[in-house]
Amino acid sequence: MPLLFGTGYALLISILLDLTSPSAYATVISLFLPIFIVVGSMGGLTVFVNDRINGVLEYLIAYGVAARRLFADILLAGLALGGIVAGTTLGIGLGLYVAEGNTISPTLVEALLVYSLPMGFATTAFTSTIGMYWSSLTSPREGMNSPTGIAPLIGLAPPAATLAVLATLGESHFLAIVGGATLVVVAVTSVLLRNVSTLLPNERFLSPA
Amino acid sequence: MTSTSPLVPAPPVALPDGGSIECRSVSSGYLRTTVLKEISFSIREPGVYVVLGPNGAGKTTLFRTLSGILRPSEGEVRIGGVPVDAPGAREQLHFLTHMDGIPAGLRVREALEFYARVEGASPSDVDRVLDQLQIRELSHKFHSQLSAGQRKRVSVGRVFLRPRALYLLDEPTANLDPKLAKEIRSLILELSREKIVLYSSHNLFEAREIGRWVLAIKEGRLALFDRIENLRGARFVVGVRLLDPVDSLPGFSREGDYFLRELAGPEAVPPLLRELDARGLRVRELREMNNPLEDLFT
Repeated sequence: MPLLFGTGYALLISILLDLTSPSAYATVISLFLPIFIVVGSMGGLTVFVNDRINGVLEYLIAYGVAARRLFADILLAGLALGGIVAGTTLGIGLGLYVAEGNTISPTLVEALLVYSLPMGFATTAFTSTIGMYWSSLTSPREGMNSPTGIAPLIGLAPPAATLAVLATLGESHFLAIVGGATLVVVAVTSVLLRNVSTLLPNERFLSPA
Repeated sequence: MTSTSPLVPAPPVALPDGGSIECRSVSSGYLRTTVLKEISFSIREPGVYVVLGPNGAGKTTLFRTLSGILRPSEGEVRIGGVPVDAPGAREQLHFLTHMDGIPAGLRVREALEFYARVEGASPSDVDRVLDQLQIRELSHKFHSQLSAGQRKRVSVGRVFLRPRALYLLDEPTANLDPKLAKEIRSLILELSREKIVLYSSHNLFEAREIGRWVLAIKEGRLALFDRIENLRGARFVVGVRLLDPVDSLPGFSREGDYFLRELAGPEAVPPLLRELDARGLRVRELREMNNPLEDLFT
């Protein structure tokens, strides 16, 4: 379902802008793509939350599967789902953009390669990991306070902060700011993943009910 | 957790001590909370070993520690003569948790097929389990369409997909109606002819029906490990509490609120109730007295 929404909304915006205002498409798509990548990747986190609550994770851990591997597999699934969103959106959106007689500018390529894709995937990894931690340390809950409710809100902080810094400092520092932000997000995610085993002795992780 | 294993089973590793399980002075728990304290026992013979204790005694924590999910803060768990996290050890045991373990979004058959792939069992094993647990009619239902009892039956089905040497079953008959609970206990009894089954329960009567041995946990300590027949005692004494105040009751002795009588056995309880009814006495409670298992819960 999240994949459907992430891809659907991204495509809708891309197609509408391609047909009505190609210049706006070239500006907007690079800014919005990370958000849709994150939304589309949420299916992985949903599976994790369900499997933890219904005991599938405990079964697999008892079977000898390392908790870190379970977290990593969910993260990879999220990245793969995000890849589907990015691939579909860019494939169809840019295809239509070119078919309409527009040329893909070096600025657009740079924005996509330096900002949209690295930030989109780093944020996806960060969001999934935050969501898995939140799920592991809290009792099951629904609504905005649930892992799938709160993770995107926290996860979208990095691209929002990056854009805010870019707006303040100007585009001359584009590469340094985006590169630095991406590295920080990747580093925080790596540290969290490295410490997954510390969640195991937490009774709430094993006894969600 | 240090070991990682693939989701397809590794070839069986020959362990020096076959299907055995041993706890050596194990203390274990969660973060800063120690739940189990210096638990020691060794089990080598097949049979049902009922892990008995009131809610919160540490039964589930014991199973999590035996299965290697929780690392003991002190002591060691050995499976087949090797540490539980040694290669091949965990493949010896099957831990049925008290949660259903049915992945959301999968139909019953798909869920069992998922576990069959994890276990290295075949599709024919799934069919066998569907018949064995009488859940074939549920094959096409999703988790959300099942009642609590049906979920439990599907969950228990996982245990029978592939044989293992040791079984840790955490309250496998919870939420089941008495008839089905009895049928599942029969399957487990059959299993226990050749396998070691640790079976947690807080039900004394269930323990007596299925258990060969009892491990009683009280406040995180192993309070008792004995053959169940040794716990029944030579005398069967019941205590009766009445609804109406009575000073004395001919044929009974008195202990606090209870009137005591020694009976030939549990089969003599219904005639006793009929006798009290005939005397116009209304019974509030009837329990077996001076039973070491009862003492665990008081």
